[in-house]
Amino acid sequence: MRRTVDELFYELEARPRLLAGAFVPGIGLADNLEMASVPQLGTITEALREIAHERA
Amino acid sequence: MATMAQAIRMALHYGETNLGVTDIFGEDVGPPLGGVFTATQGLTKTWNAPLDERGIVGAAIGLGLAGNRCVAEIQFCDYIYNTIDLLKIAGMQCWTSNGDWHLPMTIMTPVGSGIRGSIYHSHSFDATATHIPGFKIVMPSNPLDAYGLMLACLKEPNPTMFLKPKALLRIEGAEQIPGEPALTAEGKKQLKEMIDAPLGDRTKWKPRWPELTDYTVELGKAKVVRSGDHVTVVSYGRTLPICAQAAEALAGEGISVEVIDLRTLWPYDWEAISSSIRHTGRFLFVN
Repeated sequence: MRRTVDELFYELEARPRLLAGAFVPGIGLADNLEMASVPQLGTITEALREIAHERA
Repeated sequence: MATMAQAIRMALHYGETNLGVTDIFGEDVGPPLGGVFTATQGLTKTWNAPLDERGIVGAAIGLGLAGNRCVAEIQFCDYIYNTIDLLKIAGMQCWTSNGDWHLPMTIMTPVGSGIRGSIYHSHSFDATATHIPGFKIVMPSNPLDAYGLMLACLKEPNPTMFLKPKALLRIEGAEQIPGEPALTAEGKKQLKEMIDAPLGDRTKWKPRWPELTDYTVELGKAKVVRSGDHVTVVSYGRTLPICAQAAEALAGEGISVEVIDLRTLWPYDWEAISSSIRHTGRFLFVN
């Protein structure tokens, strides 16, 4: 991420994004905690859609 | 249709028979279990280590310096943290000896979320691993790459780390590993009968290995899983197939997404990443 912003900044048309796991000590046992802690299909799809539609 | 666990097992078998692997060890790695995810069943060089992660890494260092080639498993990466100093020492050998001493060893460990493993079976070690100098770090997202990356690690003269995404260890591959039975339901059943240990008493069981051949995925080379023009997404391991799914869904909306699988986390393929981002101008990293 840092290197991309550092070396390719002027070639970017949209704000760069990082989608990563939440900074928590561990993933919970419960399903809803797991789903909320790490990237899922919905969050990835939404992030890509947002980036694609962002105005240059 | 090998699963990732079977692919790793087949790669380790190839390593035992063709690449000079002398030891494959860790907690529950040897018989009777053959690994908590079955990745080391039926191999001949496996043995069970005591419940001592620093001992496991220390033994791997000693074996490597003595001219052996070993694969040492840390049962879950959550337990690897108390070995950081030893990993640092392993990574330093080539550098501090000015290239005189190589240390051929592979540390393999399951990483990441996906099995509701809570605080002792879900940690993500990827980022930390890439900050230990001297190691090459890989993480496959499919069985064929798991096979190829393991062979690459086993050929490498210096320390490597093979991170197994535990959420994908039971996923079947869509690409055939050279030598495995056909990608059909019958082939899947045949492979299971050949190399999966039976439940119950397995003292007399011996695997029948397929005629595997060399298939090496070059370290440091990413793969463009899907070409696209509008956005680049870079990922690896568990989230890579999800990114591919998202790209497929967005294609229906007229959004063309280029999906890149890093495969090697360190050294990563900057040429592939930068070339793609120059083409699309937009990117997302997912891990």
